[in-house]
Amino acid sequence: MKALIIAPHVDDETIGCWSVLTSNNDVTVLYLNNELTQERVAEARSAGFHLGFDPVFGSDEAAVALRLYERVYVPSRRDWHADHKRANMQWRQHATHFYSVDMERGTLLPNAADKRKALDLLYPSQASLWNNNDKYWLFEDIQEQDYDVYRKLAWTLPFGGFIEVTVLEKHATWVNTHWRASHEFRKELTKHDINYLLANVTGKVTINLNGVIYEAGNGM
Amino acid sequence: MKRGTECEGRLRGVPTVFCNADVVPTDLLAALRKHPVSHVYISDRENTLGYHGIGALLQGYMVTLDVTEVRAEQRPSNVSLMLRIDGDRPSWESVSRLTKEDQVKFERDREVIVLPMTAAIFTQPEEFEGDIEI
Repeated sequence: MKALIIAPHVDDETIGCWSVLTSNNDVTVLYLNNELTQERVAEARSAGFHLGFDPVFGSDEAAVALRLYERVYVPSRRDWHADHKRANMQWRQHATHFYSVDMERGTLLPNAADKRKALDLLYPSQASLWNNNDKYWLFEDIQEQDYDVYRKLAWTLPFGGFIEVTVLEKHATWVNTHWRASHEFRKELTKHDINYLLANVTGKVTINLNGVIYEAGNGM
Repeated sequence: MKRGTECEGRLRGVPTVFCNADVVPTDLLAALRKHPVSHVYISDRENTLGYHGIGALLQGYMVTLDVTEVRAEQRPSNVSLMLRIDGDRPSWESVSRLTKEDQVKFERDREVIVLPMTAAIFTQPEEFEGDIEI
């Protein structure tokens, strides 16, 4: 699969997209014009040789033929670094995936030790970063979107009235099947029913019960 | 149990579930289903948890065990130790078993200093040889 990684800095592609680089993909890494010293350019070319990707240097869409790529990995809007936020704004319209180097939603890599060896070998100028914080080599954080997606679920109630529940998308199936089915809405909803919902979902939760709004943390 | 962000040592900034050893495994696993994090910090000052067992139980998570002694037991790659220096603990045997993935922790009144073992400089007895009395 042809993949393009947008890297604000040399080493972002390895820190943020290790699994992409090591998964038999045909990868191009576009390094944006940030901190491109001779040393960093040399490290990027060396990394490309060792990890089997094509390093390209440029600042805009003219540097690559976007139509050729099935996957485009762009820095997440959640990253704190201004260069990453800027890259996200410029490239997010082309993105299929968003990667973060801050690892707030990171998952433990099964081959983290290999990633660490690669970072030590290929980017010695940046070693202090992962020497002082293991998260950069232990984890990876690639998502298909870089913002929270909420779903609104709504039903009329058998005993009269209606209920709307707004939760993170990942909880929608559980709410729609397990919570709704377990209570069947045959009887009037109780404080226990609502608290059971609030205890089993995370993120902002809003319940509209016959026009009365309840939010997580403001129980019945 | 708490959910938050690690603020000590080598995993600063990583979303973490913090707990004591006595909630392992049932309550901890239930909490992790609800709170997706990548790091679990377990306070185990009585040194009760087996390294292999906790690593297998929490496969897919990075685990930091806050301990006062280190056993001569092989550790899985997802388990690292935070050896707490407290009074007359730990023993020298414990200190000598630390690896470069581990850390040493000093704490008083919620002020914490953590030293990673990667910063450690080791000296062997034979290196003291060769000085000349003057």
